[in-house]
Amino acid sequence: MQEQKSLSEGIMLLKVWLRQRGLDQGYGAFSGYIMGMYVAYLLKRKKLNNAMSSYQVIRNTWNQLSREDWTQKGCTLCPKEIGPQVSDLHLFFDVVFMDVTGFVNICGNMSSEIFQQVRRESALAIKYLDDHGINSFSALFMTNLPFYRQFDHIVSFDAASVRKAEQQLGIPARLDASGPWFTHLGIVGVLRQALDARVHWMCPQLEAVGTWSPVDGPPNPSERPFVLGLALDPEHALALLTKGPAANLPEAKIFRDFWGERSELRRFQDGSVCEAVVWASAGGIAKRRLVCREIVSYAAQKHLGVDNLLYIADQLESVMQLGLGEDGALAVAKACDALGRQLMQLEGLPLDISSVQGAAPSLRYSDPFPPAPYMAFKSKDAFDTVAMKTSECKNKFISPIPVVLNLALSSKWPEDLEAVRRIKAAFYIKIGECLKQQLNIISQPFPTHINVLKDGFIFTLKVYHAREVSLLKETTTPQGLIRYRDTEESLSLEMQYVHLPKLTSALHGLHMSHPCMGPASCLAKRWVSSHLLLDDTLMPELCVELLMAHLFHSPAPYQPPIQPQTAFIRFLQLLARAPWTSEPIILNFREEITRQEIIEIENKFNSERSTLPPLFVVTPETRSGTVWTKHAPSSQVLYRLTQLAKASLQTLDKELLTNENFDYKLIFRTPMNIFDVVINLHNQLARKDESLDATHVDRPKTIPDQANRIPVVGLDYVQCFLKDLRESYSDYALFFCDQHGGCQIGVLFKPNVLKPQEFAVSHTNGHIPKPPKQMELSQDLFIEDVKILGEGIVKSITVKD
Amino acid sequence: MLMCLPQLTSAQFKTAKINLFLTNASMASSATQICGFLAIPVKYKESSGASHWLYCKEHSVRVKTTGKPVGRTLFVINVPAFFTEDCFQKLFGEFGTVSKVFFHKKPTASVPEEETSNFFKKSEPVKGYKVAYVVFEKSSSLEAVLKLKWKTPKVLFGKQDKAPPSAVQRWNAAYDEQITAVADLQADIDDFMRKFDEKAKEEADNLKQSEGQADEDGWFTVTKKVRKPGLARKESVEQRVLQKESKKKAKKELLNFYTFQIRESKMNHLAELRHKFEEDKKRIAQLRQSRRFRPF
Repeated sequence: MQEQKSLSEGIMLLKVWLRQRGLDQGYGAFSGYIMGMYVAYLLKRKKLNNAMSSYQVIRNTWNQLSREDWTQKGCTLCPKEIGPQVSDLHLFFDVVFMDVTGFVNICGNMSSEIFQQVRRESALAIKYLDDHGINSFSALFMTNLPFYRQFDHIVSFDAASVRKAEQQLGIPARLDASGPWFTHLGIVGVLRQALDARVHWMCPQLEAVGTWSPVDGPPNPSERPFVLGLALDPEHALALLTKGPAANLPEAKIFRDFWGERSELRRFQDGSVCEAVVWASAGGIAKRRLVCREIVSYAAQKHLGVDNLLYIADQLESVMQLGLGEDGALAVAKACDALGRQLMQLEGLPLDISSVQGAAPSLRYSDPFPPAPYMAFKSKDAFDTVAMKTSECKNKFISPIPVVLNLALSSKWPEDLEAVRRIKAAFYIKIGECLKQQLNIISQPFPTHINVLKDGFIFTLKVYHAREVSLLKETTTPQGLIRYRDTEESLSLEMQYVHLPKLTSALHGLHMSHPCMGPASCLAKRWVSSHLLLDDTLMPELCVELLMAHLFHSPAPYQPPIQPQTAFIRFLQLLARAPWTSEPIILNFREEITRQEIIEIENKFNSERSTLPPLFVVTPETRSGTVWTKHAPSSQVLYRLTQLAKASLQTLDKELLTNENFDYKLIFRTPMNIFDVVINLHNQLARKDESLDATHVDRPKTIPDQANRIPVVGLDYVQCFLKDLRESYSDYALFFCDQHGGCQIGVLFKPNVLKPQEFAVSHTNGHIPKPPKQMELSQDLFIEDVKILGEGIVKSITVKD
Repeated sequence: MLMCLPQLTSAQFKTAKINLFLTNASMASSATQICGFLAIPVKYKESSGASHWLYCKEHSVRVKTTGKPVGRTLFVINVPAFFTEDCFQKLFGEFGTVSKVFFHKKPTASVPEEETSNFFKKSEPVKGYKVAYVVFEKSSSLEAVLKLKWKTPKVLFGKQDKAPPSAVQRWNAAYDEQITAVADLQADIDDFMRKFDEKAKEEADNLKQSEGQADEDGWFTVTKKVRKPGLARKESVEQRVLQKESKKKAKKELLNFYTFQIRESKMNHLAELRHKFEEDKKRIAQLRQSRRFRPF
């Protein structure tokens, strides 16, 4: 075997594959030795031969491994029928693989969970090899899969709990077991019975035993915690009720014994009367994800006598109070649908409204703070405009929900941009009138849009007219020839009115098939935002969402997650890996891009890498790959994100499984000492309810419907201030701020701008003269400008020396 | 000076010019001059820590416009965001009346279009640092401004002046400005559309009148209204026509008639194959480098 290079290479690859999945080290692991023996076994059985390439070796090994089940039918390397029968050994061992003597079971201490995990991974590996959309080499061999990122939920029993469970289960001490191995089996057995179909699989954590000094003796395995990962089954895991057998069957007794007083008889809709356990009363979907936690803690208490479990599932979400986001988004979507239907049925409009498409992040379930239905604003006195002015009302920040209206086709539109703008405005006025007359919905028309109040939400409706885009593109050559060229305005119009609604519906669809994508995006956005990078000029929120969608669309080497926290951790891993430098990110929704086209895109990407934006995202609608990422993020911002993600992951690696009192907000705190200047703002002006340390405020539940005014919408002073700062200084400095209630703005000067420069008419902004021929950007003047631009909002300014 | 010009040789003329320039420079030597610009320090408030510097110079361009008359217009760059027309009035008021100020983001020779509607602006307001063209009523004011030494910074908003709006007030005002009474908006739209329709009708009438009549050179104008409107003057249409033409041409040509043609086509084919092979090799190298794992 040694002489065969391809064989030894194949074994090496297989060992790397095992190591990346953390399956080959620790007590009861599927070690590299077993893998080597298995390849020898396959060689003997003529499943492999010496002429095979290393690729064929690993492929065939995986293929065989995924088909065999050593827990039912073990295999042996022993050529003759000496020693005990393999079938007899199954009575004593979980997994059977006899060595060449026929007397030693080299898998003797392996639990069936570990073996099944290896089998599943082999089957997955074959799938990746066959799937051309996946870069299988990196997924199989290059990516490390730490234990806690592979599972949705993680249960950790500390050493004391394991001892308690040992007593409760009545497991006698045995000679051959290293540590509380049989107790572990018992715990797994109880949890398996409790969770049943809710988990796809569960797998204990294997931990390599390190070196120890000869004086102290080896570390005692019974001092270590027992950690179990659960991969949830999306179909069953969220059920609020565990249905047992019919009451008159003998199995009902077992069920009753297992669940104790929680078990009750229930009549179901199909008329059957069954034993059942109800876990939680109706709650949001965020609560339903935690039914498994309730089940595990109940079963652990009843059958194992353990009541202090470390259950890792939703710590990040609960810290960030995201549960509100999901239900809030649902309410927004419902109101938007209702408004859409009403708009399409309006009568008396010059042109019918043919479709209504939402474009807000809350309609993609990815707004960490979706707009809440606000308290009704009502004026008794007469008023000029339905919309309130800033002097009339001082409400909290309310974000409007953008909606795009498409009208029925008509040939009567004027061929002039100015006239089109007027016609659209006239249309808004007409919509406002019809809404008031026919449905008693109040609204305020503006020259560019109309704000409509529906169910306490404020929708900003805009009409899309396709001819407008081509009018913007149209130029006439001196010869009188009409040509169409993309301009900045036409591209941004197209993005807002065409691509954004389409992407919104595509992401909404993806969220529907993976219901944890929305909350995971919220977490990711909150994380990016608290590191001061979520901004249209730095890291646009859509880019975060697209990266998250990529994670769900091509989850290799993982399975799509069920728990947002797991998805978020994998998102950090994606950022840390930074795959965008070497490959395009292709979001092939509904498999609309053919394989041939993908190859073309990849070729284009490889040949034109330097001219393309740092982040290159392709969706079926935007195949050029530059629509969303043309202006931002820059490679510097992406690099910073990568660094931050690495640091966050390191912290999680270290703390998540071991530290019960870990402060999860830690990974959301950003260092402010990197900035040249820090501007401190009066925090009552920021959106402080959304800040990291805000205490949770109850949102108003009831909406009085006699509102007759629309409050101030979308006026965020911090964003106004940032915009003004960027208008003045974007050539020389970058500005960073947490859009969710951040009250500090970090300023970073671009390199070399503070040095004296040659006088040039185009670059004098903010410079003081240094006669005879030079000028200089003055930090004092910059601070003076900050004070002037932010008078009334700036509290203090700190300059790094 | 002008009178004695014909007697000077060209070299002498150059020195004369340089002398003139030198006297100008030495005249203002005590003022801060930088590359031909006069630097004027300005303070926002008495308490301000640092002062802004305006760089100005007489406006001179080849393209002359009546809006920015040469000799009366001061070209100012590095104008801070808070500067308004009133600020210039305050700054230069003592030298004479400022009749108009134009703001632009970049130096521009033309005058911005006049706004006709309160609701539909033709151009966005200029924000951030900007350039300004200050038009004085008299040319003497401009000269006086450029002659002054501008040593101490002028305070724009002193104690006795009305305080400028704070940032929050500015943002509030900008927000409130968008909110308009529906009737006003409708009236503005109706007014514009009436004018627009009138103009469109007038144009259509003009076209109709000129139809079928030769102009002074004897050309007829073909309009869309006639029975055969002809081809649209679009780029795509022209390309299609050209493509058709080249196809027709290619059909007529015999490519394998002469021996040299056959030989050449064979050679080209070979070169193309080689080129493709090289490309593929490059591609495979690239794949290998990025560790793509697709054996077949």
